Amino acid sequence: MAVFTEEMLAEAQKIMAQYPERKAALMPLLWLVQERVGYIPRDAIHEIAELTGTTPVHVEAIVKFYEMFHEHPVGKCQLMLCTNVSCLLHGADKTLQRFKEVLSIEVGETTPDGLFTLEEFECLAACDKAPVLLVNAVELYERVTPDKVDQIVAELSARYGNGSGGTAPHAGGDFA
Amino acid sequence: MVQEVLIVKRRVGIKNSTDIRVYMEHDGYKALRKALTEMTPDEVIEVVKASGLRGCGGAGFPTGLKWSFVPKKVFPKYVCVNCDESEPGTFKDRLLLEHDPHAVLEGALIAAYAIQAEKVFVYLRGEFGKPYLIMKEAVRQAYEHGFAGRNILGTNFSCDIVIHRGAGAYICGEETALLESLEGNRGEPRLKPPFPAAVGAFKKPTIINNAETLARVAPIILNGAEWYRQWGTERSPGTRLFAVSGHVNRPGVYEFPQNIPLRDLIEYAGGVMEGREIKAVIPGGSSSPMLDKETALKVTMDFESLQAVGSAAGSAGVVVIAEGTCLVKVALRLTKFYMRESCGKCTPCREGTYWLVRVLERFHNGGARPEDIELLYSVGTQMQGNCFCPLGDTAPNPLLSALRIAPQDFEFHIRHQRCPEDMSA
Repeated sequence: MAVFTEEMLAEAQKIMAQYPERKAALMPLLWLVQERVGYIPRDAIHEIAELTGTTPVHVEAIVKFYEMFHEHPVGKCQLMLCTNVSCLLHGADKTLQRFKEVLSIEVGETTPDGLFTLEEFECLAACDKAPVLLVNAVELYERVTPDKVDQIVAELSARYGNGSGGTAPHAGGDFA
Repeated sequence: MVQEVLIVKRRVGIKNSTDIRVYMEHDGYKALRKALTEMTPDEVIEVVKASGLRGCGGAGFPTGLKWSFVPKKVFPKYVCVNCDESEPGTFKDRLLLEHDPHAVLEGALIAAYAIQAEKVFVYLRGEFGKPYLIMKEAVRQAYEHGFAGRNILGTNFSCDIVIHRGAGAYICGEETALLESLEGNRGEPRLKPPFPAAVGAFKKPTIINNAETLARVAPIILNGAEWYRQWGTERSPGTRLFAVSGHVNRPGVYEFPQNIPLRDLIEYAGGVMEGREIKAVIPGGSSSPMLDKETALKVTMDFESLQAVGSAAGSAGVVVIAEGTCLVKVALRLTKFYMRESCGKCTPCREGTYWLVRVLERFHNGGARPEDIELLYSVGTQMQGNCFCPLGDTAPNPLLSALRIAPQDFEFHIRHQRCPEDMSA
């Protein structure tokens, strides 16, 4: 099944025109697919290889190298919790523990309802607000101590859960 | 109490500071106009050189000198703006990108004029979703007002701006890894020489500058090199954005002359939390070796002073660690960071970080042996200077400095098979 629609192909042409070599459009095209589909399906790897004049194995290596690209579907809300030094000094390890308890999942897993994926992230460059939680790479929650976890999960469930009609914010591949 | 010197921070806090009209009301794009209409490209390079401006990303390389290495007669040429800010403890570029994106763009366009580049690539780390949306709008406005695109300000200088998003890889902050990432490859550093100034993006002459470095260019062009040199030292002139976090009462980004005493900086950031004593301080991002309390209280923050005490000014990300913190915990977390972020290209880094984490986990989880301290030293010191790029060379720094500052923490773990922090918890 083709992942790239007519509209996406037109978008891809615009992206590729910005670079002196079409291969450079590889990461922007992966962002485009991930924004539209939520992850990078196998077929998209072949299509992007074709578009950029590379090989599927090269595109796959890029997907695996950069940790924000997903080879499999992830939750509607990606919880990216920083546990690096400044956040650790403010108890991020305990915050992470609380997220695992409240969501009943381990790091890297997705809740059965497909709503949350929990990820342990490296420094998010917001150390003055430690511990920090980034949702879908856009929305930043500050000073996320363990006592705030229940409330954050409840709030995000209400906004993006089944029946809410909400779509999680995403700074995806909109490069137009 | 010391006073901040606001050069690149001066528009932060102004209402709608990301809007180009507000930026222009506060001297915005005046320096670009001055450069394009009153100065030759070489004159621009000379002013930046004379100012002594040094790169704010970590390495501190003189900016004007870097620009002067670019061959004159090879085209096309490129400018890359390094907004891959990922060094643990560093959060100053985010401040500029979220509050003053045009300052970064104006500096990049002046740099492009100075080396006669036809395109600026703004490389933003993937996690910077909000800065990305802000930057995208800023680029749109810059085109709309004729500061980017064809015949900028009616001159014959043309330059395009392209935003390129990373996707979660610390190594892409290393300039040649950034170029690989830009070209659609894994972010693995290149062998130097050739340096990017000669053979860079798409094999063409390229300069790569940190976002804060470029934000400093417009004020220097407007006010002159001598004006900039009134602050700091001969070799570290001007100001820097110091990002202070960890165990302080008022964490934040503060702009001071480069040679501010660390002690004053910590005091300005509200002092150590709960009146605790300093145990260690990371002065320039996690790759700079931690300082002990005694050194932290007497050192100044300029490049040469921190180098003299065996550390580095790096990215100016200051992390204050209070007494009562176990440095084994800190060392393990930071070493894990380098393990996760190692690109895997060279063996000492790929294997070294992995084995350091394996041994440190014995301290954390139980099972550490007395001889493990010697083992950590051995692996760590063999990595230093033997890796392909600075990531691996500096990866053992948190651990080796922790071993020097707090050997008692490591010994406690061996003797009691638990963390000293657990007593106070």
